[in-house]
Amino acid sequence: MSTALAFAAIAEQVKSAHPSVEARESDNRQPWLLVPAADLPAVARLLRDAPALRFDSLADLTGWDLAKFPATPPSTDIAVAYYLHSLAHRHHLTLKVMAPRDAAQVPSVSGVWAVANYFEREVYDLLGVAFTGHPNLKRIMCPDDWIGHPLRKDYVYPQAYNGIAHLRDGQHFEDAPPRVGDPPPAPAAAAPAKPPVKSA
Amino acid sequence: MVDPGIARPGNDPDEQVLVTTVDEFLAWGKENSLFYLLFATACCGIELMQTGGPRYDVDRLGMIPRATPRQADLMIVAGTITHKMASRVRTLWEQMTEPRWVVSMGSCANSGGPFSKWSYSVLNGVDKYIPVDVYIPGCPPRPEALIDGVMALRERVRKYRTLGMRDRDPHVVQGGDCAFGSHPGRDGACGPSSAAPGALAMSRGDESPRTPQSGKPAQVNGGPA
Amino acid sequence: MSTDVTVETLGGERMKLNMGPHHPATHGVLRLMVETDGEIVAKAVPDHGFLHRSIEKIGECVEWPMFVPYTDRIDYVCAMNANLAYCVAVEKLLNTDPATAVQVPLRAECIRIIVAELNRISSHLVAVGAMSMDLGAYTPFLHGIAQRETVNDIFEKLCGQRLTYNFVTIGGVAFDLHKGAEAEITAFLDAFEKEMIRFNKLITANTIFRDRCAGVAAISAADAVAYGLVGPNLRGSGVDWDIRRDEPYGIYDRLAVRVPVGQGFAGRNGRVGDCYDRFVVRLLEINESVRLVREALKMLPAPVEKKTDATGGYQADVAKQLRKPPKGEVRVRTEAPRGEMGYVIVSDGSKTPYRVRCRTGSFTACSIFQKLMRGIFMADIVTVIGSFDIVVPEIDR
Ligand code: SF4
Repeated sequence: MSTALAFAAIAEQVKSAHPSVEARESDNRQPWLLVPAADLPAVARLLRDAPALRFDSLADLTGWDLAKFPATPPSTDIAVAYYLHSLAHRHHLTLKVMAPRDAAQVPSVSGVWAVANYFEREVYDLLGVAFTGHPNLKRIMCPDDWIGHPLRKDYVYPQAYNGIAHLRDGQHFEDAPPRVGDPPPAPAAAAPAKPPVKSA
Repeated sequence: MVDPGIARPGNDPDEQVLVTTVDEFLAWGKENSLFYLLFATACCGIELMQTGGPRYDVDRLGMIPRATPRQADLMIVAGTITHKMASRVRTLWEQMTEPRWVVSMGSCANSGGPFSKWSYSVLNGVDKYIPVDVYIPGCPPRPEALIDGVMALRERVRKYRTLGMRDRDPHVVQGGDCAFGSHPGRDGACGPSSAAPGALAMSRGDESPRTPQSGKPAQVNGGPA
Repeated sequence: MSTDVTVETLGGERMKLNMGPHHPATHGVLRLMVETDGEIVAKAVPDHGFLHRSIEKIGECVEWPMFVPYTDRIDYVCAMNANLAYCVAVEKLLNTDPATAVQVPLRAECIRIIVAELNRISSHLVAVGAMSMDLGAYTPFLHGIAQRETVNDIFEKLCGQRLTYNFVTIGGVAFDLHKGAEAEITAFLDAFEKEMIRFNKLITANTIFRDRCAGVAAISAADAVAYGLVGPNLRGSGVDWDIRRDEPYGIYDRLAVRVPVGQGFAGRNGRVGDCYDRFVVRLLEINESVRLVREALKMLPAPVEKKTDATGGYQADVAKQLRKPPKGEVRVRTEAPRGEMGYVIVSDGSKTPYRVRCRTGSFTACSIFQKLMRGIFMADIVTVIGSFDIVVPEIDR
């Protein structure tokens, strides 16, 4: 489509309206826009409504915990990523909002794209990002009384739920992810081989 | 009365009367009409569906899917059971009328399968919640394997005694290859005892004295209905 | 029709009804909390998570190739497409750095198209069969399953599994086509096309079936886009968008995919984007897939001895790249039978992914349920669920 805009042109338009937005690149040169959380609703509206942009669909919304991501300096944020797509002009854009891990709060965009309602509930459930202004911010995957947010890198698996133990009697896995109430790892007594499982 | 005038092979009263015990007869009937609960959660459910399909056609074994547990004799747990689902499985099982049987189909229902190690939400085996009669390994088991499992179950059903063991637990298969000596649902031995959550008191053999079933079976879920 | 009755005009007592998680028409363990006003649904709130198997977390624990079997379990009705989506995503990640670039052999690309489209056929057969079963027509379902068995046979010869194939690998496919596979597939397609005529006579042109679906739960194009519908559900609303054609991956760009869209197929009572449109779009896509398999069979290069050969091989060598993939992130969208299956993959440069995110069609399809199921008849709930062709592990993962 001839009306599709390249990333630079889109970034230019957004930045002229919201100077706080920055264009960034990931380590493998995938471009994205870093949006401050406070500006997100306005930026989202602009992206959806500006005639040249018309990002009418939110193709995906997800997030990941940057706690263990090798970066200098180490980040303490949760990245919330918005993948926008315009069916009208057929172009793409990635937005990211960084939310600090201990008080992760991002304004909801469910008023802009209806599907964000579900996506945000999922991110809330699995990563513990509170979306302010969300009409129904409840857990969607885990039961309501689940403890913790599983996709955080420091998540500790439960030992039991509802009185039913997770593992079978006597079941034990080498190098499995940690569980609540596990004995603390022996302090490098026998220098165990580094487990292939990353989550510590 | 058979009309003596018509003499055809098989019309002789001697050939018309079979003598058997009531229990044998009832077990025979049960064995040949194992209505199963249409209970599929995950991938294995598709194989269960295909087993009911035209090629494997379990209808010929007298197995007809029922949508409601109240009409089912057999629960085929086909697929992964998560912690969130588990209490519902128990509810369904409790709604089935006695005698009831459970086939655990696929690695997930047996032991958590591919999810047992790294998953935080999958129950490692449905037998932590309900007693299982036959386990079928596979991920997913082929329809042939499922049918084989059902044949194994039919062996058990054939040994089921309705009257002869009224005061004892009918699920105890005398001399059979029974994994659960007692029928745990009846005396509340199934489910986590309050002493050791998660540990199932499923004894082999029939050593413990039977107490009459006191009210409901052990409350397991405690979660929302 | 049902949509003429609005909830506000009725002031009766509400009854709460719990549908699922064990309900034959919810295609697995979906739970709907329905509030009815007489026969009219006042409110239906879906409740998910009964099959949340933490697959995304597992993605962070296992190594790159070890996640492929788990993609099977995300969508087991079309496991080939699910494998393909993940593998395409990892390949794209590797290709962001010239040092780790992979070149998937052409033969492997053709085999991927063949298996993906065959699986699309068998997946849509389950979809249309199950939808007609939900509406009370059991026979079409059996016809669909019978055809699906044939596809399963082909796949079983190909990779030894009937359902969870683990066949598409990063950098190619696990096995070359078995001997005589081309002839088998062609024979299946020929027989299948005839069978589809019968199928259509049996159910698609059936007046009762058509009238039950006509005009039920019509979704406007704007709503479909806003609620993130994808795949046949989106196209049923008349939006002309197919990732295979518009953002081709693999060798779809050489195949000229034709995209059917909903046009109010049900006739007088029908509307664009109603349940019948979604049903028919799936059937039309089956025909298109048949054509694509034939095309791909024509393009298939001759096999060669060396499996990493760029044309006739079937599996590029990726073991070294996967030990040290580039650091960074990619996002890939592919067209699975239930719509866009998109992966966001974040890599920290180690042999396990840092984050694997799978965006699936059924999950977003559920987001419109609450809006759609207001003011329809109770009995239409199963029609709506059936017409979206949801697969529960895709919602819950
Ligand atoms: S055993 Fe395998 S096929 Fe069956 S439900 Fe579990 S993962 Fe799916």
